[in-house]
Amino acid sequence: VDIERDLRSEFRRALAEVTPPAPWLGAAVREELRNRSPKGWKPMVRVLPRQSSPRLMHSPWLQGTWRGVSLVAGLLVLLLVAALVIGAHAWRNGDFKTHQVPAVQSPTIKQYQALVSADLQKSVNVNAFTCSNLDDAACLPRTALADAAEQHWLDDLTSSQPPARFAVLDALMRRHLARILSADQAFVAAFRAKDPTAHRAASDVQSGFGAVNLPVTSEIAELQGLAGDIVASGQGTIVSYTAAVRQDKASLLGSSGPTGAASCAACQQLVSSGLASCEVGQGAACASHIADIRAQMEIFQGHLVLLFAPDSLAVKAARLQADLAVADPLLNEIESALSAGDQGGLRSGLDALRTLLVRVDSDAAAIVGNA
Amino acid sequence: MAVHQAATSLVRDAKSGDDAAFEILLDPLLEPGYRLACGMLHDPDAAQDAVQEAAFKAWRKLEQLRDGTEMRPWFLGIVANECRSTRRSHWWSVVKAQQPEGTAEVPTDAVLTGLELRKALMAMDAPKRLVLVLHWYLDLPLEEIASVTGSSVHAAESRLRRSELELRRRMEGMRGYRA
Repeated sequence: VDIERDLRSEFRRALAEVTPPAPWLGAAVREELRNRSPKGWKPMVRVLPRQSSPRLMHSPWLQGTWRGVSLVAGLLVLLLVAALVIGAHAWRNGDFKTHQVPAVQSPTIKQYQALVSADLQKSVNVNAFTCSNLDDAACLPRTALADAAEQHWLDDLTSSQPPARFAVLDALMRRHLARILSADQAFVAAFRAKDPTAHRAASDVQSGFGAVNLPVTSEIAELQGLAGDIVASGQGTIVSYTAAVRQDKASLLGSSGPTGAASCAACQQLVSSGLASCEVGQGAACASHIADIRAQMEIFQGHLVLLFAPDSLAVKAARLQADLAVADPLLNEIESALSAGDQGGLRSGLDALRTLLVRVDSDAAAIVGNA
Repeated sequence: MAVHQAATSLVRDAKSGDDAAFEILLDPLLEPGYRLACGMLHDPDAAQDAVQEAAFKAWRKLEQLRDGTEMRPWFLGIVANECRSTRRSHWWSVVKAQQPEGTAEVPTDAVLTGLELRKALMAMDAPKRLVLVLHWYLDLPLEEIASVTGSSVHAAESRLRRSELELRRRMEGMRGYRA
């Protein structure tokens, strides 16, 4: 808590130094608005005056010259339109914004970070659209472009052996990519069938005060979050690393998250009394709780890569990471049992998950106790 | 409730062309907008330009404000976009130029700490910097941060946590020590 308070006060002080008082701002803005927004203001369309008089245009010599100039101008316009079309296509592909980084079979940490960074940036670029209207002709081409980028990313990861530090997140990213591609297939089918529920967005679609969370949206957010952890990965100090673990421990099984928001309620419920939602007949609620637990475990794993342990805590950190890594295959088994209606498999999977959560909490406590 | 109804009524008036109503709505938003822009750009002149431009765009786009939507997160979202578009190329160059290598000297006073923090903040990508400024400088609750960034509360919290960790690590990297 002290570290949090210190950083917050440092943050405020640092930004206050670049925020001098601006008491005139209100008046300046009002003046600007008055100048730029008279009643009935419309974007100004500038009409260029004619440069040549009609009489001069009747000269045969000038008419010939004018035809030549018109021809050249016409060609230039055509070239400009072609360049704009090609440019727009390349822009949507992200070719101007990212460098192609070739996949290397056994990349170094920096090479792997560069690879993920390039694929992440491309993913951000091509996913910056929302499809919530069945009449939007651009939806399917944009989705195809996004899928091409995601498939390329998946191919990059599949053809590279990640450095040990990133191995767990590499596997998680590949699973997210596969799920995004699968969710997009479902979206395309729904869109073509004119299903009014067909939506696709890389960020939550705002609807009034709430947000419509789509399967592909959360997959993209989690994928990009993990990729960001890899790109910005670096070693922490004992102080920062233990503070980070303490916060994630609190999010997992504590009473509230580090920012005061609700932490993983499903995790706490599973450990304290079991998930009532996973009794027979509540498939959707159970799946949602499993997804919540998965997301929390993934975030924890991502943070441990974003801020990896100082050498003195490496052994304890390795134990924590090894236990967290067990969660993914275990959650896959639980989801399979749930979708197959295998209640026995679901129950034993949840028991194992409960034991695992307690063990992860204990691993984290061993690190936090070090501080 | 009465305050909310009054605000809704003002929004309705502003949408129908009442400039005075728009000014009343905008006035209390300029200060947080300016602080947000300063936090994002670290340049008061550019921040004032961004707020002025955002105010103008808000006026033009007022029709897009859905009934019942809070004005503050909507306006701050426009300010954030304005900051992003005015300095996008600069941000990218800063991000690329300032990878922490842990070679700087240990700072000894608050001035140096402030410099380090701003340097670390500028080295982060815009979405992460935005949630940090909204949460730590403007004291916005997560729900409002989510509205400004157009994400769910969960996604906003997740981004905030990641941003805090990254900022802390970058600052430690600049201080060049490993405890």
